[in-house]
Amino acid sequence: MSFRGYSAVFTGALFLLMAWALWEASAWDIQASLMAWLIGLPTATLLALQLVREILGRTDAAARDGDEDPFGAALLNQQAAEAMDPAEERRRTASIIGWILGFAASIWLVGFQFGIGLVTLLYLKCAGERWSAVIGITVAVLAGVVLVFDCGMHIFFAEGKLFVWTGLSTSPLFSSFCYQVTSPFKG
Amino acid sequence: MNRRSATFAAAVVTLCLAFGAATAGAADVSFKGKTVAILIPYSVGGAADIMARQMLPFIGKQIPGNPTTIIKNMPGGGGIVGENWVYNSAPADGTIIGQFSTSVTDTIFKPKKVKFELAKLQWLGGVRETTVTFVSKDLGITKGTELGAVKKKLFFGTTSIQSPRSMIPRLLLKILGKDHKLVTGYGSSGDMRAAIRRGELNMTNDSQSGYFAAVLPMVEEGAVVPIAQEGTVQDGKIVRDPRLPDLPTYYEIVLELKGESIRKDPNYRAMELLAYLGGVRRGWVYAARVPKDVFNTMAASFDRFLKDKEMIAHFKKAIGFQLVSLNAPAAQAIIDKVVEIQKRDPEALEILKGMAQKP
Amino acid sequence: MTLKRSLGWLALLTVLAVWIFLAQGMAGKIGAASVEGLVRVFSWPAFGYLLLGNAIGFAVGMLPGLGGPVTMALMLGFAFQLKMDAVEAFSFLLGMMAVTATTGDITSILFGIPGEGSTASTIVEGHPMAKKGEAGRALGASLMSSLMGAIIGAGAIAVAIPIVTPLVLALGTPEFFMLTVAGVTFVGALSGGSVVKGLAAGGLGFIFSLVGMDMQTATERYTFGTMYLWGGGETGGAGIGLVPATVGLFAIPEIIDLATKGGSIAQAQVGRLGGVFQGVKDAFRHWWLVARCSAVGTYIGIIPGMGGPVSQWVAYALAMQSSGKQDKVGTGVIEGVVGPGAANNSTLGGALIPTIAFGIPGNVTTAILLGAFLILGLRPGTSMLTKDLDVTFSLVWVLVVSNVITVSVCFLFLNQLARLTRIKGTLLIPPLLLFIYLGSYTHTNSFGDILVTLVFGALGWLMVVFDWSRPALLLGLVLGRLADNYLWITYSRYDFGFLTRPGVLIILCVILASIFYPAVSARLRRRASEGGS
Repeated sequence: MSFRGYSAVFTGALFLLMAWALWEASAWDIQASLMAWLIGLPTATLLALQLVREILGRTDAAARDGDEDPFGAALLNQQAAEAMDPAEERRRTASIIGWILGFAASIWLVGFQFGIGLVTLLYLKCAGERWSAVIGITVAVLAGVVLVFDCGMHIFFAEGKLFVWTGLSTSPLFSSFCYQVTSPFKG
Repeated sequence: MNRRSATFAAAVVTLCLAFGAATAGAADVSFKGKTVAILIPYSVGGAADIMARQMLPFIGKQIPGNPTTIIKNMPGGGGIVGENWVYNSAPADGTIIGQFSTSVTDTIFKPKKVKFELAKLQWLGGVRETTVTFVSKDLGITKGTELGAVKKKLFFGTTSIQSPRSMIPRLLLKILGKDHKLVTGYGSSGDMRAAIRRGELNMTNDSQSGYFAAVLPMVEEGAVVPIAQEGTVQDGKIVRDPRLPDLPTYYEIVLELKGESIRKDPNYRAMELLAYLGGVRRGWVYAARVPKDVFNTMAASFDRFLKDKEMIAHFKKAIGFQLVSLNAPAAQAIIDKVVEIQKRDPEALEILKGMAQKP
Repeated sequence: MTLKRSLGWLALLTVLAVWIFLAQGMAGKIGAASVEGLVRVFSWPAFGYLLLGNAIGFAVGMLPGLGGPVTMALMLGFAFQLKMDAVEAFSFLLGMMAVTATTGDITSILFGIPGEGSTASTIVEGHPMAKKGEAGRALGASLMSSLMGAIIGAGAIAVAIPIVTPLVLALGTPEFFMLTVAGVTFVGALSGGSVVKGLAAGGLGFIFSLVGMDMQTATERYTFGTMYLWGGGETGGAGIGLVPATVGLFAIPEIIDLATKGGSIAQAQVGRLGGVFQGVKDAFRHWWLVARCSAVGTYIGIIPGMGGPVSQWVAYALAMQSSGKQDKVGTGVIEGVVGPGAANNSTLGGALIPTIAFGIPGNVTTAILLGAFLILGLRPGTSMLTKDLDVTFSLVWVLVVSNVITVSVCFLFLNQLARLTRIKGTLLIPPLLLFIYLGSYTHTNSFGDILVTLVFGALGWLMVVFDWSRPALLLGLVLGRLADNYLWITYSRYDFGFLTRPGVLIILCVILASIFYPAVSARLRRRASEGGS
């Protein structure tokens, strides 16, 4: 599909989102839905207008139709992208999106404290860093999080789902590193 | 086994049990080396959070074993996420104390999402406050009893139609048959004070803390006039708050104007129910799962904390008036009364639910 | 252009004349209190607490996971445990808060992650500068304009004292509602790109802001039955948190970009050391823009509910519109760094005005400060403008002195900071991702925050690819809830009669003008160039 095609699909998706929002709002009473109607109707109209313009090709998106790879970094940094092979660029984009999602998934599964260490370690190693850099950065990142956010601010770190399922979550280790580290020194 | 040895064995077992029970009852549970957290079901920086942070140094020293005390925030769902967590998932060893502000009314107005039973929470203590209704000087009245005679149109402002605080004055106006316009949507009491100053509103109410901190200067300046208060619950009765002895309660005003027969009016009964609902303004609770001995130890610690002279002096300076606190039995009594009225008087309850729907 | 300039001067002179008229007789008292306030800030131990506050604020501003208001609430307990007096406590708390908007810009420019919720706008033009190797210049410009903004905002408190009542009470809720719409329209229409897409993005932001439990009617709006999306609580707030959404919209696309193109953040050679000085010169070169953005920032601070998260974007739109470079959005337009840099710092000064004078806190920061006032036995209101005027002036001086100190310290490190953009991307990505997640997680401490970041990250990335205005969407999200409340108050108080109020009509005209201005000015320019050739 051309850039123009993808662009029109995105605009269409936004229009559908807006239409759904209005449809949902129709079930609410006037007080809850007044804002949704007042802003939603003009917005849906604008989105429809934009969609028509894009389909007819009367936008700047049409001018970029020649782009080989619409999703690349080309739009963020023209110079660098021109020099890069589109296939390599796609591979890198997919890889970083994988890491972003993987990081989130690991936080969900094993909690913040373990997830951070795990992903930092794996990412750096996969990026081909030396072990000294890998371990140094991992330890620094973990220490910073535990000291500032756990010990300092008592942020409520939810336990990882893996520990909840296996029944290990009652151990304070899984909700607070700081507690584990400091409790032997107390009174 | 002969009979004598059987008797002996029984005696030993009994003795052991008795001894065990005695030691469990006598010796305090110690929190030595532990971390006790007060869980605030709201974000950092809100009124509930700021109050708890001020309490923290005073409460820590009263708990046996001098544990580290911290605040944990679990905001979401208008407080219900944290409240549900305390009741259902928090560790049962007593290291998590919930500080609940709206739990009592939540069980009435948001029953679908509430995953706890009011009657089963263990109340460690609480503080109580009255609320004060005040009107703009433009109305030209000085007393609540004159409200019915006001010529100008009343614009009564509140945060939301569900706000329990606003319901008593709304009921008052309803009983007096006084037409008014309910203006909802304000973000805070501060916004409503500004609205009164610029003439957008001419009537609203505020918590006691808000009243002493920010409304009193406006009263002294002559911009607004206080006309009625909610009162507090004492020994099962609704009385004027001891810190505002000269301001009549809504109930006094209604009784003066309408006579004793009004007590049978369901609107009046709904007003009374509201006073009990607000009886524990902020309460500290344990889940039902926390063992009784842990509860007793902590309730005693809260009792000492609430009597601490240094703490009382600090709060007097911070909020501008004497903190009136409820110990565990007093808080529990109010909650029991709420549960009882809810069962006994469904009609009053329905009126409140209806008021949360339309003005 | 000259007409606009002279109209601006005329307005300024009129305001000045009115002020002098109203301030008659107070001048001597203001002068004395001002000197006394300064002396109290520089006395020991207040000054020590000020430095401590600055140091904490420095770190808090730069770290995306730590927000200024939250840290201030945590420090409040510390302040009364140390039994500080009023001036000491404000030196500490306000000294901490005042510099977060300054150092937050640094993280935004260098890494494309907002250090504070109120510094996201400097990413849009500042981070591309860092990519071009101009990090030093961007930092120099942003810090200098921050300092100028802070001084103007602080000065506004002093100036406001005689005219505080009309200043704060002139506009009512109907006008506030119109201003929220105007804010989104400005940013959607004037910050460059297609006007239709800009306005539509702003509208979508409004709709996103409705997600959550409507506190008015107990209607669950777009919550999919989950409690996480309810939002709310004692400090209010919508179902979609500002920080998770901001971080997702702006930081996730930058991470993708950094990983995709490889190498370091700075693609070109980092400019020689002169860059910083060049940035400082930029700030002075655009002094008129700095002054206007600071004024806008101050007034937005006064309006209840609004604050840095709003003023930065309005200033950005103003800066882009007056730069005439709307077609170069996101390429490193220096005006787009200078304007928001000034505005987010001046907002704090503005927000303090209604807090001091009427005890009406406009946002979370000032609500916490109001708590501190009360704990310290100060009653906001007329006494702060008469009996305790020296305390009021100590606040003014804390804002100024803190920013002078912090900006000076920053300049010592600026070249080192700029070099961070040359670190290999692979080493930066894990800590940056960590801050993205941790920063959003601190919103409600639940996994839902991280999901919101991911959803808005995907949306933000697609918006970059297809050239939609993220600022308009974000501002819609910030202002939507507020607009919803203001609209309902207005409607339940005035019905539709509010549409005839003069203030509402004036703002309506301004909104329409801003929608049609880009088209009209483009046509005029085309005609002028045709006529010329």
